[in-house]
Amino acid sequence: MRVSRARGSTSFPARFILVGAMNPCPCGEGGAPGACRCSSAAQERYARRLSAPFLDRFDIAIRVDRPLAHELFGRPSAEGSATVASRVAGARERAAERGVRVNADLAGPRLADDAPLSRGAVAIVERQIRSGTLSARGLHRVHRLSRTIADLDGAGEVIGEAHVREALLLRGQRRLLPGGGLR
Amino acid sequence: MNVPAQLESHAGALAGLPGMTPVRLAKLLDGFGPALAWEAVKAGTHPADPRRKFAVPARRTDVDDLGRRYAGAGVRILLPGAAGYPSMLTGDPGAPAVLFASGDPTVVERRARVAIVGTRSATHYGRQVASELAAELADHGVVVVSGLARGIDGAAHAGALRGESEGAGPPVAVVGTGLDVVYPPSNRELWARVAGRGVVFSESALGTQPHPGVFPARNRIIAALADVVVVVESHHGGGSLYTAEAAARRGIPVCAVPGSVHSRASAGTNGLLVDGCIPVRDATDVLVAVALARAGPDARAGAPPPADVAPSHRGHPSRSARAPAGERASGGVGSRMAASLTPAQRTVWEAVDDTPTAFETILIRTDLPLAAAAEACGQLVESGALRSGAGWWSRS
Repeated sequence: MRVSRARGSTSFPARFILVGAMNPCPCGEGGAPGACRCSSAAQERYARRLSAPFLDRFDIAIRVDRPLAHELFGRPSAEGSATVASRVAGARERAAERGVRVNADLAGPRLADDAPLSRGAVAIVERQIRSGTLSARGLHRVHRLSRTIADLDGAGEVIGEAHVREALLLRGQRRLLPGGGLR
Repeated sequence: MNVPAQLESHAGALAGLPGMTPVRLAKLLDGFGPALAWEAVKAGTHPADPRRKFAVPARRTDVDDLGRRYAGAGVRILLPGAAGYPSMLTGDPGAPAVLFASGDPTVVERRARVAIVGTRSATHYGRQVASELAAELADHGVVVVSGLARGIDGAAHAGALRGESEGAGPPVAVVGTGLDVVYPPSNRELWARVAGRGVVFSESALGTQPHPGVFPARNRIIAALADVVVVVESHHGGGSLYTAEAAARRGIPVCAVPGSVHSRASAGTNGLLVDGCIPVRDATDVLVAVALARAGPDARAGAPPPADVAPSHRGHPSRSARAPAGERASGGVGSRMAASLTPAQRTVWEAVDDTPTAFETILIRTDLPLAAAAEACGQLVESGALRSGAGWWSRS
């Protein structure tokens, strides 16, 4: 981690994956209609505790709702950890072939070669940028994330529309409040 | 195999002539028995067919062979006043002149009957309420009548079939197509279960394909069979408002389930409530309405007689005049748009409410793979069908 200031710059050794969880609002119901008891002012105060630049570092954010009881039963069990681990190992191998440990380390200029987007995927990203829902930094992060999604999917070199859509969706849920200016 | 008697076969043959409508069929059978009417049509001498348009197809029809086809399909042909024909339809000015049944048509007799109807493009809320109401009513021995369509109808039938008690009310459906044409095909299993435990009625001959005209006409039969009609969700000007109107003309009480004022799928039902229909929060509200309806059949006697079989308008007359043009246009967008969706988009669209839904919930409800659901969500947001923000998705 490199911090640059007027008098010089210093490098701190840091290599980590940060995983965090929080409630969506003080009462924990997250503004779900009929359940949340928080005033909008309380929700805003709560959401402001995490600054936008901080949240921007999270590539994946998922809002977890409380499913209804009958939606929980009779569901097929999810993939086992061993299966997922082998897919992750495969994706890491692909990253190693590109000369990086993980795709997050791919330098911006190399994305075009190492993570080519299909024509449809480019169109989706372009639409997002033009409509202002995706920033330049957001674009790079979505690009790397979709690279990893495609790798996990066992897809080829070219990143498809569904991969970009998934990346956009995973990154697009960081805001706690609708209309918060985070891109 | 019970081959239908000559009378029934002739009635089935008349109903199956190309271009036949319930109104034309009623005119052909008015004052004629089925066999006489058939011979007259064939000979080109029937006064209700002055242009002899039915004569040629009639001459090409083998009535006995047709009777065996009905028997083979397990479909009974019911004539007014004869055994099996629902007694509550007898005397109804819009009563079908011929009714086809697969299953046991007598289940509608001597039981309370509630029609649960609503929009095909229902929200999760609507489907849930329809299913819960139907299950509890069935548990109370009530016959739940619906139309086996997508959305509210399907949820109501599925709920009624869930009724667990010993004396659970058998399910009843009235469909627009011929009884050998399952529409929508996705309801095939539901259709078979309704016919197995109750009955599926139709006034269309075997082989009749779905077309826009049959559904409003079908709705009047649903209304006429019921003691009470419950509309769970309906868009502004939706087809289920026609069922409500047909019920109101017959003096049959109409109930409506209130919905969010932001929900387009509740615009029609909330409108019914403004017009004085009975609000329904749970099965108890419906049971009270049923008890009142069955206690006071005299109330029906004073009601104005139903008008024609297939009215020209489907909207709710007192509301349509007041609705702003923008809302009326957007009300129709839902169904038009639904037709152009990919299967994954439709699945996601049906899993999302007007109330915000988390992506995880969408995944649970749809069983779609993550990427497919993400793609469908993205596309629906781009096309303007869905709105997303702060991790919530809702219908826009």
